[in-house]
Amino acid sequence: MDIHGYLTFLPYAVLLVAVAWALFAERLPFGDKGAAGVGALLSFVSAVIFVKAEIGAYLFGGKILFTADARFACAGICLLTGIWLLWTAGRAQGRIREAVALGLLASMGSCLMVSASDLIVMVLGIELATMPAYVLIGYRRNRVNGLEGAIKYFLLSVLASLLMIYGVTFMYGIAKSTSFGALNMANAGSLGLVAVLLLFVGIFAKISAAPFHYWAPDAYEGAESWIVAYVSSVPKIAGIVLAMRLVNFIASASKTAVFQDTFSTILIIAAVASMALGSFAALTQRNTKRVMAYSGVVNAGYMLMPLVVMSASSVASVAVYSVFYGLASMGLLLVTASEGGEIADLVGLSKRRPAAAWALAIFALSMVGVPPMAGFFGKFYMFTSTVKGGHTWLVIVATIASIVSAFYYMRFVKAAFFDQPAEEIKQAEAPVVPVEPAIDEPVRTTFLASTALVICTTLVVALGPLSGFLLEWILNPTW
Amino acid sequence: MQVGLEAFLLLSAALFAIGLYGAISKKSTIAILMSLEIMSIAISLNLVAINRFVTPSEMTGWFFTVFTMVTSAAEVGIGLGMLIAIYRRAHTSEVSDLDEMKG
Repeated sequence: MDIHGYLTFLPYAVLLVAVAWALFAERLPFGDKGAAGVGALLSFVSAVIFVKAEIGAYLFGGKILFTADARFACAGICLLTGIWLLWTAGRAQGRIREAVALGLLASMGSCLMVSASDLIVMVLGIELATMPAYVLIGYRRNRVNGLEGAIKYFLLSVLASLLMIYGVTFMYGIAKSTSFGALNMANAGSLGLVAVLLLFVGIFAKISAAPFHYWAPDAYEGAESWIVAYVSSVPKIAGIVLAMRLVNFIASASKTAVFQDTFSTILIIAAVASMALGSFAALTQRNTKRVMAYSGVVNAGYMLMPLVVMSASSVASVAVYSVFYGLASMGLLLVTASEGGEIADLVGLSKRRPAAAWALAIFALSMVGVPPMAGFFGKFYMFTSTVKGGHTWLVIVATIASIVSAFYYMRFVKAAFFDQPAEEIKQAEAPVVPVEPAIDEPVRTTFLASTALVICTTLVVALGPLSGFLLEWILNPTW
Repeated sequence: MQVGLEAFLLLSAALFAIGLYGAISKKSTIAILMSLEIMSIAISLNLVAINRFVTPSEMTGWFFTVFTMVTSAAEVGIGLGMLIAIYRRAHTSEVSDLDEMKG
């Protein structure tokens, strides 16, 4: 391995510089907002370096394998982190420097997670990606709701992590090595299956796939919307891309039919359960963040579906859709973050902030999968690759879930554009959110938040027609 | 008499099961954290035993053990921090009392 291999690690170092800046923001110019701005800038820089990175190299003695899908996911993670930090610099109130540092650390963990090719690095990456999320969910210590959601998330997530690591220890014992390339689980009989099942319990919990999604609605409802925007998008991209890589490595190393059939049955059950449970639960919700939590469950179901097929094009389509989902979900939550947490708080948004209302409509349409938006193209490629793999009935379930999803996403649009504000009810139910006093000077930086939303909207509109190129970039990584 | 790998794996499975039972059935957050720690000890035991019997010439499992110990220590740090914060606001550490959100 030569020096070019190590240059692949430059973006991680850049993210760490941003973390250090955020941790010492008190003594550096421009305070908290400056830290968020610098973080955003450095995240965009890392995204660009990831796009240019060399692929196919094993780094650090085979601990890291930087493939084309990992490169795409890393670039997407850094891009989303940059958009989130730009919005944070513009509009987040109170003390935010720790949130900036934690978000950047979680992004670094996510990048490590998707490029790992060793069980130890994978476990450490997952821990680095989720531990900041516990703290972020309970970030405002004066909100009991937030702490309640955080401690529920923490206990369930740690339990899932431990089950996962317990499975990983058996995988290490069976394979006699922790390298992904040696994960032949087929010769160990049922022990191999149990180990893989435990590993996927952990991963399903991280991407909030059913039946391990119970933490998500409470954790999201308690947290502030701008934090949910991060927690619901970036770690989910990393989780699903890691699941994809694991399925790929395990299935190609363990070649017996019994093992592969059982393995794909597990994935099918999780996918169908996520789509069904998520759809029905989302229909009855009145809180924006709870709707987005259940929509995250449904989307985890969509993204697990092509993993059953495991062809090259299905893998690429999952990576592309995960980033499209992240963009739309983050955008939608960032628009609602300046309003209240209930859908009813969006009433009259088209009068107050017309541009934000239209952005909200675009994100909602992308989540439903209406043609010109990115979400449609992402779903289209995922569904076609699943049909080509011979699982047509799975796609029928997913299509029904998409149609049902139109009902709950369109509720946002209806509230923002068509509902008339009922003054007296709004007065009574207006949420009182205590905010810690701003530490630095109240500089007018809201234009940064608008820029972030403009970037997000542009990407959601423009990346759709370009998704063919993105797939090609993952499938034929010659350029 | 030689004690083999199976004995260690059974012991760690028993520990893991005790921890899992505690984590699911206990009401106090501190008891749940203690149960999670038992599970993490079962994992360490598993790794050390597998390293000794399966790959005695390498140290992979031992390094893995050190890393899992560090992460579980960090997790307990976060958990106790959140527990103290929540106790100051709600004056309870029972999971069953934390039910403001439903649905």
